[in-house]
Amino acid sequence: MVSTGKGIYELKCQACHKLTEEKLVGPGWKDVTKTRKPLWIMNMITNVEMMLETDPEAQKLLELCMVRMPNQNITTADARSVVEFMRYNDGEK
Amino acid sequence: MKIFQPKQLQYLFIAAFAFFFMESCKPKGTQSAATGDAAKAYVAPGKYDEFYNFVSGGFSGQMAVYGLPSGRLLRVIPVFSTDPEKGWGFSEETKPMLNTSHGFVPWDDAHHPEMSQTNGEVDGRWVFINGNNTPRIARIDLTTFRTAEILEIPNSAGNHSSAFVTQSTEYVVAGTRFSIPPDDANGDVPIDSYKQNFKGNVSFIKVDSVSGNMNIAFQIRTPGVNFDLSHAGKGNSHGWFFFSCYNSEQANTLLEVNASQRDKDFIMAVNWKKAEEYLKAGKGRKQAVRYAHNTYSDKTHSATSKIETEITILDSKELADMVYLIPCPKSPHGCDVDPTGEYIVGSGKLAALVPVFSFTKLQKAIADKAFDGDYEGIPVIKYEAALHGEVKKPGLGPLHTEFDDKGNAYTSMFVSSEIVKWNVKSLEIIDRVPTYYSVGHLMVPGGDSRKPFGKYLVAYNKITKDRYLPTGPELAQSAQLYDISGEKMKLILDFPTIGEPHYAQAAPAGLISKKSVKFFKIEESEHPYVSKGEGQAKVTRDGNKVHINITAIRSHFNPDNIEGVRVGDEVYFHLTNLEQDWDVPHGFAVKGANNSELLVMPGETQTLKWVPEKSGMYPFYCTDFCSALHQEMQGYIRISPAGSSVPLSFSTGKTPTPAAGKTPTPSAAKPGTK
Ligand code: HEC
Ligand SMILES: [Cu+2]
Repeated sequence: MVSTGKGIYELKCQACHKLTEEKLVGPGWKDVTKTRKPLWIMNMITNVEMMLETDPEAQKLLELCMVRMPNQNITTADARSVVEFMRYNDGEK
Repeated sequence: MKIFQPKQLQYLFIAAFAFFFMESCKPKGTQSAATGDAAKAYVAPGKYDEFYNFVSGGFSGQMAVYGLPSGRLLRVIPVFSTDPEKGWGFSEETKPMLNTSHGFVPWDDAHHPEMSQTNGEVDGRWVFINGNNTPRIARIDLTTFRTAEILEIPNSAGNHSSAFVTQSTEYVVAGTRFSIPPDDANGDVPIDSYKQNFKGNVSFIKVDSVSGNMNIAFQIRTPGVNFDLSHAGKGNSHGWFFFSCYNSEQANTLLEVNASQRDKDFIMAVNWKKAEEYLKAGKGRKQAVRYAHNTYSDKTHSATSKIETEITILDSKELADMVYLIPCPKSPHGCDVDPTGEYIVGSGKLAALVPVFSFTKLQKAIADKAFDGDYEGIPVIKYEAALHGEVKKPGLGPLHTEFDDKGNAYTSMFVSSEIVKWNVKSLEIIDRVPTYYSVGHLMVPGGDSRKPFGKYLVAYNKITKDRYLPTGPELAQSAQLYDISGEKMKLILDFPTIGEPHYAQAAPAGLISKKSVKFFKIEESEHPYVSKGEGQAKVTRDGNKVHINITAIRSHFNPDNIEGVRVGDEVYFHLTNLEQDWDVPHGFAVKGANNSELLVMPGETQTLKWVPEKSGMYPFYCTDFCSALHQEMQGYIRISPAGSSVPLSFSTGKTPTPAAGKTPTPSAAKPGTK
């Protein structure tokens, strides 16, 4: 799952997200799984338009980044793999 | 309480008066037009149209897509002409689409779109359209609204009586307007040897029922006449194809006079099932020819062009029962088959009547051998023997006929600028309305299929004169939309078109919109230079060829700093759009390139070739407004003089990294292999 997630990251997310704390186009992913609930992250990945319309936290990020995160057409299963990859990146086994 | 100052009062009074004045000044009828008939063409903001309308772009070489009834222009699909906006014919991937046996041809004249059909009904899969000047047939894929295939037609000139399909798209046909010496004969002959050396041809192109791929199954060699239009039989007449011909005089000069001498020209009836039998029985003759066959793949996002070298000819002179000629008054243009397949309507531009032939009578005439001699070995049917009847005094210059689902026909009158509605069986005229002006083709959605949608009729006019604001000597051509749901036709909308509209097609929106591709899945790309993620972006040198695999996503390129490219290099920007969402193209343009922009759809890779001629600094940027930071989406490529030792490097947002691949010294540079 982690390696599937890594593959998806490299293909569809890496252009905007670093694995460190450093912001690129979007925020760096370091510790994102510690500050956000898995469901919230899943929603951000699979339903970003709705999140940017309704979720105050997502809207705060938009004000910060000034670019709307694109819908990258990720299936729920693939989003799960990406979240696993994020957890791995945050040091979970 | 507030008291009005005199000034304010005056103002109020004037305002009220002005309002009143405007109301009363409206000409009578405007009110009813805006709320009555015109409202039928009104599609509210955010609402969809009922029909897609595919209209030939004429001498623009392209095809335009409008919504009906609004007349909104939805898209211009580049077909036979280059389109720098979309990089069509400029990107490395699309250049092969415009290849022909004459090399790269950047323009053509596109006339007759025809939608694919299944069992005589429009199926919303493909639109075929003909290139008139350098004879070709294109197939447009309606999932992407892009040209998927272009097939050149050998032994042809003025590919006009095309691209019409049989009832289940078994074939799409192409006919010659000009007769010419066949491609394998010496064409360097006196022009006045026409009667001896010039031949006509009609081509039957097999369409693969799954992929849509086209291949010329056979060509029927005919006498040297001019073919104008054609239509397939359907229902009972399925298996037959009808072509109008003129210049049966076989004149080679001043056709305006010399091709109009005879009282009657012909409608050529082809029994293509018979032709298939002859083909199977080996009665065809192989001919060596050269013609281009170009296909575009949505997997590799690239086109390939192949030169085909052989064709099979069936000779109308030698093979009996395959071709017949029906006399038709004076230079027929339209040759239209009604939805039942029983009636074939000829429209002689110079005739004072519209003849309607009966398929049943035609079959009987053939069985009875009711012939009036032959024309170069082809039996000529007795006019009366095949005739159902004539529409008397229809108007001046009958050109083309379409049909509704209630047994009515609509014929355009070019000279008297009107549309005449008449009953196909009784031949009685029911209604007539003016067009503005000089109408050419007509179109009812599904109007040449077995199942027309008789709600709207569109007239495509050749002259607009005073219909729109003037724009210098050249004016927009125009289409006019009529409501034909009632007994009387009602003009409800004018809308301008691109190029010159000839024929058109339309289909219910639901047949097409549901299947529309929104983006290309990047995982599935088989483009040789795709960058699947920014990690794959790179710059490599192969001799004097520099390949730049560059990515775009809102809103940056990777790489966006490139150095170590030299004068004398051929630079290929392979731009991959990493977006995976609908409607987020990125563009690409580099200063001074003798080329167009690229416009790259999500998940697609397109390549811009650039041969820098001077050393210096060359900015590139995204041309398609993609986000609030679009204006930041840019980069630089440094061009050094030939022989420079600046190392190849590339980066985005950090210090340069050394380039992958070999960096040969200029003296060791060999012409690279792509
Ligand atoms: C075009 C740039 C871009 C791409 C590609 C992109 N994102 Fe984002 N992402 C953003 C931006 C910008 C934000 C901040 C919210 C906003 O502005 O819309 C964000 C926010 C997020 C957040 C919330 C981060 C936090 O700190 O709370 C997550 C999680 C996320 N993205 C996941 C993904 C995943 C997974 C992918 C790949 C499938 C991806 N993103 C692809 C730009 C991008
Ligand atoms: Cu852009």
